[in-house]
Amino acid sequence: MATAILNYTENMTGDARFRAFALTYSNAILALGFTRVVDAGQINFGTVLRPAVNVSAGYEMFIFQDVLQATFPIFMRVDYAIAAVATVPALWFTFGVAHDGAGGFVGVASTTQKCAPGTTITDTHVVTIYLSGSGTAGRLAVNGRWGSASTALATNFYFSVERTHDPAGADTGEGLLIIGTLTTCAATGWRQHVYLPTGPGTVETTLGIMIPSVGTGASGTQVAVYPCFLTKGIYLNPSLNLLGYVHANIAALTPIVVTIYGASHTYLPMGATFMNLGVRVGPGGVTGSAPLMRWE
Amino acid sequence: MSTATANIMMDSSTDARFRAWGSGISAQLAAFGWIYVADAGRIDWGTVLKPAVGSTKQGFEVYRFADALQATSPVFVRIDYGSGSNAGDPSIWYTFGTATDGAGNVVPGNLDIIRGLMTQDANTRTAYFSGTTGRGVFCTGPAATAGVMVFSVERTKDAAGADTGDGLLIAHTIGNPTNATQWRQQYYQLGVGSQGIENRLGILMPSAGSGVTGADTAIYPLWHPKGPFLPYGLNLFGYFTDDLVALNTYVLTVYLAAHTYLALGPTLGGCVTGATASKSTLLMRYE
Repeated sequence: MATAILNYTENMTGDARFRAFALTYSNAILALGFTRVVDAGQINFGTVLRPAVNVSAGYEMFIFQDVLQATFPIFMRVDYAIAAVATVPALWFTFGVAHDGAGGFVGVASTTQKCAPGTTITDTHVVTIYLSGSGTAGRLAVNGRWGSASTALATNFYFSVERTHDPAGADTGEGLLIIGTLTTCAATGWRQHVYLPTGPGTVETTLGIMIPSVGTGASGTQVAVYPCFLTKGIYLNPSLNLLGYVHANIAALTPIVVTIYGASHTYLPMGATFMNLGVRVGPGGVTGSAPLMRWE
Repeated sequence: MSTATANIMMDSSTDARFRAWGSGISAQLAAFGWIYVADAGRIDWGTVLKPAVGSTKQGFEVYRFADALQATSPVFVRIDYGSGSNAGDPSIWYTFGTATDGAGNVVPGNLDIIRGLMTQDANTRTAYFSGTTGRGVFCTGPAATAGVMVFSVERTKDAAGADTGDGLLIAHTIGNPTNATQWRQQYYQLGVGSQGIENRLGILMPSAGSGVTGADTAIYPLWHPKGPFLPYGLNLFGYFTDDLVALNTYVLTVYLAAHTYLALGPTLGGCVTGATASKSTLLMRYE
Protein backbone atom coordinates (compact mmCIF):
# COMPACT_ATOMS: atom_id res chain seq x y z
CA MET A 1 0.00 0.00 0.00
CA ALA A 2 1.35 3.41 -0.87
CA THR A 3 -1.57 5.65 -0.06
CA ALA A 4 -4.17 5.67 2.65
CA ILE A 5 -7.04 7.81 3.84
CA LEU A 6 -7.73 7.85 7.58
CA ASN A 7 -10.59 9.15 9.62
CA TYR A 8 -10.83 9.86 13.30
CA THR A 9 -12.61 12.28 15.55
CA GLU A 10 -10.32 15.21 15.82
CA ASN A 11 -11.27 16.72 19.15
CA MET A 12 -9.19 15.08 21.89
CA THR A 13 -11.73 15.40 24.67
CA GLY A 14 -10.48 12.39 26.57
CA ASP A 15 -8.37 9.28 26.70
CA ALA A 16 -10.54 7.23 24.35
CA ARG A 17 -10.28 9.66 21.47
CA PHE A 18 -6.56 10.11 22.03
CA ARG A 19 -6.01 6.35 21.92
CA ALA A 20 -8.04 6.13 18.73
CA PHE A 21 -6.03 8.91 17.12
CA ALA A 22 -2.69 7.36 18.03
CA LEU A 23 -3.64 3.82 17.10
CA THR A 24 -5.05 4.94 13.78
CA TYR A 25 -1.72 6.48 12.80
CA SER A 26 0.30 3.59 14.15
CA ASN A 27 -1.67 1.06 12.13
CA ALA A 28 -1.40 3.20 9.03
CA ILE A 29 2.37 3.57 9.31
CA LEU A 30 2.72 -0.17 9.75
CA ALA A 31 0.45 -0.79 6.79
CA LEU A 32 2.66 1.46 4.67
CA GLY A 33 5.51 -0.94 5.24
CA PHE A 34 7.48 0.62 8.04
CA THR A 35 8.63 -1.87 10.64
CA ARG A 36 8.33 -1.26 14.36
CA VAL A 37 11.45 -2.19 16.28
CA VAL A 38 11.63 -3.47 19.81
CA ASP A 39 12.31 -0.57 22.11
CA ALA A 40 11.63 -0.45 25.81
CA GLY A 41 8.86 1.82 26.94
CA GLN A 42 6.91 2.11 23.73
CA ILE A 43 3.34 3.31 23.86
CA ASN A 44 0.56 0.98 25.00
CA PHE A 45 -2.54 1.89 23.07
CA GLY A 46 -4.76 0.11 25.55
CA THR A 47 -3.72 2.11 28.54
CA VAL A 48 -2.20 5.36 27.35
CA LEU A 49 -3.73 8.53 28.77
CA ARG A 50 -4.23 11.80 27.00
CA PRO A 51 -1.23 13.90 28.03
CA ALA A 52 -1.00 17.54 29.01
CA VAL A 53 -0.39 20.18 26.39
CA ASN A 54 2.94 20.02 24.60
CA VAL A 55 3.63 16.61 26.09
CA SER A 56 4.17 13.27 24.40
CA ALA A 57 2.12 10.41 25.78
CA GLY A 58 4.32 7.77 24.24
CA TYR A 59 6.31 6.80 21.22
CA GLU A 60 7.02 4.08 18.71
CA MET A 61 10.28 3.44 16.89
CA PHE A 62 10.13 2.39 13.24
CA ILE A 63 12.75 1.63 10.62
CA PHE A 64 12.75 2.12 6.89
CA GLN A 65 12.69 -1.04 4.78
CA ASP A 66 14.17 0.25 1.54
CA VAL A 67 17.31 -1.08 -0.10
CA LEU A 68 19.37 1.74 1.35
CA GLN A 69 18.50 0.69 4.89
CA ALA A 70 21.29 -1.88 4.83
CA THR A 71 23.97 0.70 4.20
CA PHE A 72 22.33 3.93 5.36
CA PRO A 73 19.87 2.92 8.09
CA ILE A 74 17.14 5.27 9.23
CA PHE A 75 15.23 4.99 12.49
CA MET A 76 12.03 7.00 12.86
CA ARG A 77 10.60 7.79 16.27
CA VAL A 78 6.95 8.84 16.24
CA ASP A 79 5.58 10.49 19.37
CA TYR A 80 1.86 10.77 19.96
CA ALA A 81 1.25 14.02 21.75
CA ILE A 82 -1.04 16.90 22.50
CA ALA A 83 -0.32 20.29 20.92
CA ALA A 84 -0.50 23.68 22.64
CA VAL A 85 -4.27 23.30 22.92
CA ALA A 86 -5.51 20.44 25.12
CA THR A 87 -7.92 19.06 22.53
CA VAL A 88 -5.53 19.21 19.56
CA PRO A 89 -3.51 16.09 18.75
CA ALA A 90 0.09 16.26 17.58
CA LEU A 91 2.62 13.97 15.96
CA TRP A 92 6.31 14.38 16.61
CA PHE A 93 8.89 12.88 14.25
CA THR A 94 12.56 12.37 15.08
CA PHE A 95 15.13 10.51 13.01
CA GLY A 96 18.49 8.91 13.59
CA VAL A 97 20.81 6.27 12.19
CA ALA A 98 20.72 3.94 15.22
CA HIS A 99 18.66 3.53 18.38
CA ASP A 100 19.56 2.73 21.95
CA GLY A 101 16.65 0.37 22.55
CA ALA A 102 14.92 2.71 24.95
CA GLY A 103 13.51 5.39 22.72
CA GLY A 104 16.72 7.27 22.20
CA PHE A 105 19.19 7.45 19.34
CA VAL A 106 22.82 6.54 19.06
CA GLY A 107 24.72 9.22 17.23
CA VAL A 108 23.29 12.48 15.99
CA ALA A 109 19.50 12.67 15.86
CA SER A 110 17.48 15.01 13.74
CA THR A 111 15.66 18.03 15.03
CA THR A 112 12.22 16.85 16.13
CA GLN A 113 9.54 18.04 13.76
CA LYS A 114 6.37 18.59 15.78
CA CYS A 115 3.31 18.62 13.56
CA ALA A 116 -0.13 19.70 14.64
CA PRO A 117 -2.96 21.92 13.60
CA GLY A 118 -3.47 25.01 15.71
CA THR A 119 -7.08 24.33 16.53
CA THR A 120 -9.93 21.92 15.99
CA ILE A 121 -13.35 22.56 14.56
CA THR A 122 -16.11 20.88 16.50
CA ASP A 123 -16.43 18.26 19.17
CA THR A 124 -17.56 15.53 16.83
CA HIS A 125 -15.90 16.46 13.56
CA VAL A 126 -14.28 13.51 11.84
CA VAL A 127 -11.12 14.50 10.03
CA THR A 128 -9.81 13.09 6.77
CA ILE A 129 -6.11 12.38 6.71
CA TYR A 130 -4.14 11.47 3.60
CA LEU A 131 -1.03 9.34 3.94
CA SER A 132 1.36 8.45 1.18
CA GLY A 133 4.60 6.58 1.27
CA SER A 134 6.16 3.27 1.88
CA GLY A 135 8.63 1.79 4.27
CA THR A 136 10.16 -0.05 1.37
CA ALA A 137 10.42 3.17 -0.61
CA GLY A 138 11.89 5.11 2.28
CA ARG A 139 9.44 7.97 2.35
CA LEU A 140 6.34 9.13 4.15
CA ALA A 141 3.97 12.04 3.70
CA VAL A 142 1.07 12.87 5.98
CA ASN A 143 -1.47 15.48 5.14
CA GLY A 144 -4.03 16.36 7.73
CA ARG A 145 -6.78 18.03 5.82
CA TRP A 146 -9.98 18.71 7.63
CA GLY A 147 -11.96 18.54 4.40
CA SER A 148 -14.76 20.81 3.36
CA ALA A 149 -15.76 21.64 6.89
CA SER A 150 -13.14 24.34 7.08
CA THR A 151 -10.85 26.36 4.91
CA ALA A 152 -8.97 27.61 7.93
CA LEU A 153 -5.27 27.09 7.59
CA ALA A 154 -4.93 26.58 11.31
CA THR A 155 -6.97 23.38 11.20
CA ASN A 156 -4.65 21.58 8.80
CA PHE A 157 -1.19 20.14 9.06
CA TYR A 158 1.44 18.47 6.91
CA PHE A 159 4.50 16.30 7.43
CA SER A 160 6.82 14.51 5.06
CA VAL A 161 10.16 12.78 5.11
CA GLU A 162 12.12 11.30 2.25
CA ARG A 163 15.65 10.34 1.48
CA THR A 164 17.87 12.79 -0.36
CA HIS A 165 17.99 12.42 -4.13
CA ASP A 166 20.61 12.34 -6.83
CA PRO A 167 20.25 14.53 -9.95
CA ALA A 168 18.06 11.85 -11.53
CA GLY A 169 15.72 11.79 -8.55
CA ALA A 170 16.91 8.44 -7.20
CA ASP A 171 17.25 8.09 -3.45
CA THR A 172 20.66 8.51 -1.89
CA GLY A 173 21.96 7.65 1.56
CA GLU A 174 23.23 11.13 2.26
CA GLY A 175 20.36 12.17 4.51
CA LEU A 176 16.70 13.08 4.83
CA LEU A 177 14.53 15.94 3.60
CA ILE A 178 12.05 16.81 6.35
CA ILE A 179 9.11 19.19 5.91
CA GLY A 180 6.28 19.94 8.30
CA THR A 181 3.86 22.50 9.63
CA LEU A 182 3.55 23.82 13.14
CA THR A 183 0.15 25.14 14.29
CA THR A 184 -0.86 26.46 10.87
CA CYS A 185 -0.44 25.82 7.18
CA ALA A 186 -0.14 29.53 6.52
CA ALA A 187 3.25 30.81 5.43
CA THR A 188 4.50 31.23 8.98
CA GLY A 189 3.81 27.64 9.97
CA TRP A 190 6.03 25.74 7.58
CA ARG A 191 9.35 24.28 8.65
CA GLN A 192 11.94 22.40 6.63
CA HIS A 193 15.35 21.04 7.31
CA VAL A 194 17.89 18.51 6.15
CA TYR A 195 19.01 15.71 8.42
CA LEU A 196 22.49 14.40 7.80
CA PRO A 197 24.04 11.73 10.01
CA THR A 198 26.84 14.20 10.64
CA GLY A 199 24.43 16.69 12.14
CA PRO A 200 20.95 18.13 11.93
CA GLY A 201 20.58 21.01 9.52
CA THR A 202 19.28 24.41 10.46
CA VAL A 203 15.52 24.62 10.39
CA GLU A 204 14.16 27.04 7.79
CA THR A 205 10.92 28.75 8.69
CA THR A 206 9.69 29.15 5.13
CA LEU A 207 9.37 26.61 2.39
CA GLY A 208 12.09 26.60 -0.24
CA ILE A 209 9.57 27.08 -3.00
CA MET A 210 9.50 30.12 -5.27
CA ILE A 211 6.31 30.98 -7.13
CA PRO A 212 5.98 34.04 -9.39
CA SER A 213 4.29 37.11 -8.00
CA VAL A 214 2.71 37.90 -11.37
CA GLY A 215 0.78 35.78 -13.81
CA THR A 216 -1.19 32.63 -13.27
CA GLY A 217 1.38 29.86 -13.25
CA ALA A 218 0.05 28.76 -16.62
CA SER A 219 0.98 29.61 -20.20
CA GLY A 220 -0.93 28.06 -23.06
CA THR A 221 -1.27 24.38 -22.28
CA GLN A 222 1.55 24.45 -19.75
CA VAL A 223 0.76 24.50 -16.06
CA ALA A 224 3.67 25.04 -13.72
CA VAL A 225 4.53 23.18 -10.56
CA TYR A 226 7.31 24.46 -8.37
CA PRO A 227 9.91 22.29 -6.63
CA CYS A 228 10.87 22.58 -2.99
CA PHE A 229 14.57 22.98 -2.28
CA LEU A 230 16.21 22.25 1.04
CA THR A 231 19.70 23.36 1.92
CA LYS A 232 22.72 21.77 3.51
CA GLY A 233 24.68 24.94 2.71
CA ILE A 234 24.22 24.46 -1.01
CA TYR A 235 20.82 23.34 -2.16
CA LEU A 236 20.18 19.64 -2.44
CA ASN A 237 18.20 18.15 -5.29
CA PRO A 238 14.55 19.01 -4.68
CA SER A 239 11.91 17.09 -2.80
CA LEU A 240 9.69 14.57 -4.51
CA ASN A 241 7.19 14.52 -1.66
CA LEU A 242 6.08 18.13 -1.98
CA LEU A 243 5.63 20.55 -4.87
CA GLY A 244 3.99 23.95 -5.06
CA TYR A 245 1.34 25.07 -7.53
CA VAL A 246 -1.17 27.84 -8.04
CA HIS A 247 -4.34 26.31 -6.63
CA ALA A 248 -6.62 27.86 -9.22
CA ASN A 249 -4.89 25.81 -11.94
CA ILE A 250 -5.60 22.31 -10.63
CA ALA A 251 -8.71 20.84 -9.04
CA ALA A 252 -8.28 20.03 -5.37
CA LEU A 253 -8.06 16.41 -4.26
CA THR A 254 -8.06 15.03 -7.79
CA PRO A 255 -4.79 13.17 -8.31
CA ILE A 256 -2.70 14.32 -11.25
CA VAL A 257 0.40 12.97 -12.94
CA VAL A 258 3.41 15.27 -12.94
CA THR A 259 6.67 14.76 -14.78
CA ILE A 260 9.50 15.45 -12.39
CA TYR A 261 13.11 14.35 -12.65
CA GLY A 262 12.10 13.08 -16.09
CA ALA A 263 9.62 10.55 -14.72
CA SER A 264 5.88 10.45 -14.10
CA HIS A 265 4.68 10.68 -10.52
CA THR A 266 1.21 11.04 -9.08
CA TYR A 267 0.36 13.92 -6.80
CA LEU A 268 -2.64 15.00 -4.77
CA PRO A 269 -3.44 18.73 -5.03
CA MET A 270 -4.29 19.91 -1.54
CA GLY A 271 -6.26 22.90 -2.74
CA ALA A 272 -7.34 26.13 -1.18
CA THR A 273 -7.48 24.80 2.37
CA PHE A 274 -3.72 24.68 2.16
CA MET A 275 -3.43 27.96 0.33
CA ASN A 276 -0.65 30.42 1.06
CA LEU A 277 2.53 28.46 1.29
CA GLY A 278 5.54 30.17 2.69
CA VAL A 279 6.93 30.88 -0.72
CA ARG A 280 9.25 33.61 -1.92
CA VAL A 281 8.93 36.61 -4.21
CA GLY A 282 6.09 39.05 -3.96
CA PRO A 283 2.72 39.01 -2.30
CA GLY A 284 1.12 37.70 -5.45
CA GLY A 285 3.23 34.60 -5.13
CA VAL A 286 1.94 33.83 -1.69
CA THR A 287 -1.73 34.31 -2.41
CA GLY A 288 -3.03 31.35 -4.29
CA SER A 289 -0.14 28.98 -3.76
CA ALA A 290 -0.80 25.48 -2.47
CA PRO A 291 1.03 22.15 -2.12
CA LEU A 292 0.95 19.02 -4.18
CA MET A 293 1.56 15.95 -2.06
CA ARG A 294 3.11 12.86 -3.61
CA TRP A 295 0.32 10.34 -3.89
CA GLU A 296 1.56 6.98 -5.04
CA MET B 1 33.36 46.32 -25.60
CA SER B 2 32.26 43.64 -23.25
CA THR B 3 33.32 45.12 -19.92
CA ALA B 4 34.32 48.54 -18.74
CA THR B 5 34.61 50.70 -15.69
CA ALA B 6 33.83 54.39 -15.53
CA ASN B 7 34.07 57.00 -12.82
CA ILE B 8 30.63 58.47 -12.43
CA MET B 9 29.00 60.79 -9.89
CA MET B 10 25.32 59.95 -9.68
CA ASP B 11 24.18 63.44 -8.81
CA SER B 12 22.06 66.02 -10.65
CA SER B 13 22.58 69.03 -8.44
CA THR B 14 24.14 71.00 -11.30
CA ASP B 15 23.74 70.98 -15.06
CA ALA B 16 27.28 69.74 -15.45
CA ARG B 17 26.78 66.86 -13.06
CA PHE B 18 23.51 65.83 -14.70
CA ARG B 19 25.15 65.87 -18.12
CA ALA B 20 28.14 63.95 -16.80
CA TRP B 21 26.30 60.98 -15.33
CA GLY B 22 23.78 60.80 -18.17
CA SER B 23 26.31 61.02 -20.94
CA GLY B 24 28.63 58.71 -19.04
CA ILE B 25 26.09 55.92 -18.96
CA SER B 26 25.03 56.66 -22.52
CA ALA B 27 28.57 56.27 -23.72
CA GLN B 28 28.84 52.85 -22.13
CA LEU B 29 25.60 51.66 -23.71
CA ALA B 30 26.97 52.68 -27.08
CA ALA B 31 30.19 50.91 -26.24
CA PHE B 32 28.24 47.70 -25.69
CA GLY B 33 27.57 47.80 -29.39
CA TRP B 34 24.01 49.03 -29.12
CA ILE B 35 23.23 51.21 -32.13
CA TYR B 36 22.32 54.82 -31.52
CA VAL B 37 19.13 55.65 -33.41
CA ALA B 38 18.97 59.27 -34.47
CA ASP B 39 15.36 59.97 -33.61
CA ALA B 40 14.18 63.55 -33.76
CA GLY B 41 14.16 65.37 -30.46
CA ARG B 42 16.84 63.30 -28.81
CA ILE B 43 18.80 64.72 -25.89
CA ASP B 44 21.69 67.09 -26.52
CA TRP B 45 24.31 66.42 -23.86
CA GLY B 46 25.93 69.77 -24.55
CA THR B 47 22.92 71.85 -23.67
CA VAL B 48 20.50 69.80 -21.60
CA LEU B 49 19.67 71.28 -18.21
CA LYS B 50 19.38 69.49 -14.91
CA PRO B 51 15.86 68.67 -13.75
CA ALA B 52 14.22 71.50 -11.90
CA VAL B 53 11.92 69.25 -9.88
CA GLY B 54 11.53 65.60 -9.04
CA SER B 55 10.18 62.93 -11.39
CA THR B 56 10.98 64.92 -14.52
CA LYS B 57 12.44 63.71 -17.81
CA GLN B 58 14.96 66.02 -19.43
CA GLY B 59 15.52 64.16 -22.66
CA PHE B 60 15.82 60.82 -24.37
CA GLU B 61 17.90 58.64 -26.62
CA VAL B 62 16.92 55.60 -28.66
CA TYR B 63 19.16 52.59 -29.08
CA ARG B 64 18.63 49.28 -30.76
CA PHE B 65 20.27 45.93 -30.37
CA ALA B 66 22.65 44.78 -33.10
CA ASP B 67 22.86 41.05 -32.47
CA ALA B 68 21.97 38.28 -34.87
CA LEU B 69 18.39 38.14 -33.59
CA GLN B 70 17.80 41.81 -34.33
CA ALA B 71 16.82 40.97 -37.92
CA THR B 72 13.95 38.75 -36.85
CA SER B 73 13.22 39.89 -33.30
CA PRO B 74 14.17 43.55 -33.17
CA VAL B 75 14.68 45.36 -29.89
CA PHE B 76 14.53 49.12 -29.55
CA VAL B 77 14.86 50.97 -26.27
CA ARG B 78 14.07 54.56 -25.50
CA ILE B 79 16.07 55.85 -22.56
CA ASP B 80 14.91 58.96 -20.76
CA TYR B 81 17.23 60.73 -18.36
CA GLY B 82 15.75 62.71 -15.52
CA SER B 83 15.10 62.98 -11.82
CA GLY B 84 13.91 60.70 -9.09
CA SER B 85 11.92 61.71 -6.06
CA ASN B 86 13.96 64.90 -5.75
CA ALA B 87 15.39 67.09 -8.48
CA GLY B 88 18.94 66.03 -7.70
CA ASP B 89 18.21 62.29 -7.69
CA PRO B 90 19.16 60.50 -10.91
CA SER B 91 16.52 58.47 -12.65
CA ILE B 92 16.43 56.56 -15.92
CA TRP B 93 13.31 55.39 -17.74
CA TYR B 94 13.61 52.47 -20.18
CA THR B 95 10.91 51.91 -22.78
CA PHE B 96 11.40 48.75 -24.81
CA GLY B 97 9.70 47.92 -28.07
CA THR B 98 10.23 46.43 -31.49
CA ALA B 99 10.40 49.65 -33.55
CA THR B 100 10.54 53.42 -33.32
CA ASP B 101 8.53 56.05 -35.18
CA GLY B 102 11.57 58.25 -35.67
CA ALA B 103 10.42 60.79 -33.12
CA GLY B 104 11.37 58.93 -29.98
CA ASN B 105 8.25 56.86 -29.65
CA VAL B 106 9.06 53.20 -29.28
CA VAL B 107 6.28 50.80 -30.19
CA PRO B 108 4.53 48.88 -28.85
CA GLY B 109 6.33 50.29 -25.83
CA ASN B 110 5.98 49.38 -22.22
CA LEU B 111 4.59 52.68 -20.96
CA ASP B 112 7.54 53.82 -18.90
CA ILE B 113 7.13 51.08 -16.36
CA ILE B 114 10.85 50.37 -16.18
CA ARG B 115 12.39 53.15 -14.18
CA GLY B 116 15.62 53.09 -12.26
CA LEU B 117 15.69 55.36 -9.24
CA MET B 118 18.25 56.24 -6.62
CA THR B 119 19.23 58.91 -4.12
CA GLN B 120 21.80 61.39 -5.35
CA ASP B 121 25.38 60.80 -4.29
CA ALA B 122 27.89 63.64 -4.62
CA ASN B 123 30.89 61.34 -4.83
CA THR B 124 32.62 59.97 -7.84
CA ARG B 125 32.37 56.20 -7.77
CA THR B 126 33.51 53.41 -10.01
CA ALA B 127 30.70 52.00 -12.11
CA TYR B 128 30.91 48.60 -13.80
CA PHE B 129 29.45 47.86 -17.21
CA SER B 130 29.14 44.67 -19.21
CA GLY B 131 27.31 44.18 -22.44
CA THR B 132 27.35 43.27 -26.07
CA THR B 133 25.11 43.94 -29.01
CA GLY B 134 22.23 42.01 -27.45
CA ARG B 135 22.55 42.43 -23.70
CA GLY B 136 23.65 44.89 -21.05
CA VAL B 137 24.10 45.17 -17.31
CA PHE B 138 25.61 47.86 -15.15
CA CYS B 139 26.08 48.71 -11.49
CA THR B 140 27.17 52.11 -10.29
CA GLY B 141 29.05 52.48 -7.01
CA PRO B 142 29.18 48.89 -5.71
CA ALA B 143 32.25 49.65 -3.61
CA ALA B 144 30.38 52.25 -1.59
CA THR B 145 27.26 52.38 0.50
CA ALA B 146 25.65 55.01 -1.68
CA GLY B 147 25.36 55.84 -5.33
CA VAL B 148 24.18 52.43 -6.41
CA MET B 149 21.96 51.87 -9.44
CA VAL B 150 21.68 48.48 -11.12
CA PHE B 151 20.08 47.74 -14.46
CA SER B 152 20.08 44.54 -16.46
CA VAL B 153 18.50 43.51 -19.75
CA GLU B 154 19.09 40.42 -21.83
CA ARG B 155 17.21 38.29 -24.30
CA THR B 156 15.23 35.30 -23.12
CA LYS B 157 17.05 31.96 -23.21
CA ASP B 158 16.37 28.49 -24.47
CA ALA B 159 17.04 25.43 -22.35
CA ALA B 160 20.69 25.54 -23.36
CA GLY B 161 21.12 29.16 -22.41
CA ALA B 162 21.16 30.49 -25.97
CA ASP B 163 19.35 33.73 -26.73
CA THR B 164 15.84 33.52 -28.14
CA GLY B 165 13.67 36.10 -29.84
CA ASP B 166 10.78 35.63 -27.46
CA GLY B 167 11.44 38.58 -25.21
CA LEU B 168 13.60 40.34 -22.68
CA LEU B 169 14.52 39.61 -19.07
CA ILE B 170 14.82 42.85 -17.14
CA ALA B 171 15.84 43.57 -13.55
CA HIS B 172 16.75 46.83 -11.84
CA THR B 173 16.84 48.86 -8.66
CA ILE B 174 14.35 51.55 -7.75
CA GLY B 175 16.16 52.69 -4.63
CA ASN B 176 18.20 51.22 -1.81
CA PRO B 177 19.73 48.01 -3.20
CA THR B 178 19.96 46.41 0.23
CA ASN B 179 16.19 46.42 0.51
CA ALA B 180 14.66 43.48 -1.34
CA THR B 181 11.51 45.47 -2.01
CA GLN B 182 13.51 48.10 -3.89
CA TRP B 183 14.10 45.77 -6.81
CA ARG B 184 11.90 45.20 -9.81
CA GLN B 185 11.93 42.60 -12.53
CA GLN B 186 9.78 41.83 -15.51
CA TYR B 187 9.59 39.70 -18.58
CA TYR B 188 8.93 41.83 -21.66
CA GLN B 189 7.43 39.80 -24.49
CA LEU B 190 8.49 41.27 -27.80
CA GLY B 191 5.57 42.59 -29.78
CA VAL B 192 3.23 42.08 -26.85
CA GLY B 193 4.52 44.05 -23.90
CA SER B 194 5.38 43.64 -20.27
CA GLN B 195 3.99 40.52 -18.64
CA GLY B 196 3.85 42.16 -15.23
CA ILE B 197 6.20 43.73 -12.77
CA GLU B 198 7.50 41.71 -9.85
CA ASN B 199 8.55 43.74 -6.84
CA ARG B 200 11.26 41.32 -5.75
CA LEU B 201 14.08 39.54 -7.48
CA GLY B 202 13.05 36.05 -8.54
CA ILE B 203 15.93 34.38 -6.74
CA LEU B 204 15.41 31.57 -4.25
CA MET B 205 18.11 31.47 -1.57
CA PRO B 206 18.12 29.56 1.70
CA SER B 207 16.84 31.37 4.78
CA ALA B 208 19.45 29.63 6.91
CA GLY B 209 23.04 28.66 6.39
CA SER B 210 25.91 30.05 4.40
CA GLY B 211 25.54 28.76 0.88
CA VAL B 212 28.69 26.70 1.31
CA THR B 213 29.19 22.98 1.82
CA GLY B 214 32.76 21.80 1.92
CA ALA B 215 34.46 23.03 -1.22
CA ASP B 216 31.17 23.84 -2.93
CA THR B 217 29.88 27.43 -3.04
CA ALA B 218 26.38 28.03 -4.27
CA ILE B 219 25.11 30.65 -6.67
CA TYR B 220 21.41 31.15 -7.30
CA PRO B 221 19.77 31.92 -10.65
CA LEU B 222 17.28 34.69 -11.33
CA TRP B 223 13.95 33.51 -12.69
CA HIS B 224 11.34 35.44 -14.66
CA PRO B 225 7.86 33.98 -15.17
CA LYS B 226 5.86 33.66 -18.34
CA GLY B 227 3.21 31.72 -16.51
CA PRO B 228 5.74 28.98 -15.73
CA PHE B 229 9.25 30.21 -15.14
CA LEU B 230 11.38 30.85 -18.20
CA PRO B 231 14.92 29.51 -18.42
CA TYR B 232 16.97 31.74 -16.16
CA GLY B 233 18.99 34.65 -17.40
CA LEU B 234 22.76 34.93 -17.53
CA ASN B 235 23.20 38.54 -16.40
CA LEU B 236 22.62 38.24 -12.65
CA PHE B 237 22.97 35.53 -10.02
CA GLY B 238 22.54 35.60 -6.28
CA TYR B 239 25.19 34.56 -3.77
CA PHE B 240 26.00 35.02 -0.09
CA THR B 241 28.23 37.98 0.67
CA ASP B 242 30.65 36.00 2.84
CA ASP B 243 31.34 33.42 0.16
CA LEU B 244 33.05 35.52 -2.52
CA VAL B 245 35.40 38.49 -2.45
CA ALA B 246 33.65 41.71 -3.42
CA LEU B 247 34.61 43.11 -6.83
CA ASN B 248 36.64 40.05 -7.69
CA THR B 249 35.80 38.25 -10.89
CA TYR B 250 34.94 34.55 -10.99
CA VAL B 251 34.56 32.06 -13.81
CA LEU B 252 31.37 30.07 -13.31
CA THR B 253 29.93 27.21 -15.27
CA VAL B 254 26.43 28.19 -16.28
CA TYR B 255 24.37 26.30 -18.85
CA LEU B 256 27.43 24.03 -19.15
CA ALA B 257 29.61 26.90 -20.36
CA ALA B 258 32.16 29.06 -18.60
CA HIS B 259 31.18 32.67 -17.97
CA THR B 260 32.88 35.42 -16.03
CA TYR B 261 31.09 37.26 -13.24
CA LEU B 262 31.84 40.20 -10.98
CA ALA B 263 30.89 39.79 -7.31
CA LEU B 264 29.10 42.99 -6.33
CA GLY B 265 29.58 42.43 -2.63
CA PRO B 266 27.86 43.58 0.57
CA THR B 267 26.82 46.96 -0.81
CA LEU B 268 23.81 45.07 -2.16
CA GLY B 269 23.50 42.91 0.97
CA GLY B 270 19.89 41.94 1.54
CA CYS B 271 18.72 42.29 -2.05
CA VAL B 272 17.01 38.88 -2.12
CA THR B 273 13.93 38.38 -0.03
CA GLY B 274 13.92 35.50 2.41
CA ALA B 275 17.64 34.83 2.32
CA THR B 276 19.82 34.61 5.39
CA ALA B 277 19.70 38.07 6.92
CA SER B 278 21.45 40.75 4.85
CA LYS B 279 23.77 38.19 3.31
CA SER B 280 22.29 38.02 -0.17
CA THR B 281 23.93 39.92 -2.99
CA LEU B 282 24.52 39.59 -6.72
CA LEU B 283 27.01 38.45 -9.28
CA MET B 284 26.94 40.52 -12.45
CA ARG B 285 27.96 39.01 -15.75
CA TYR B 286 31.30 40.54 -16.60
CA GLU B 287 32.60 39.46 -19.95
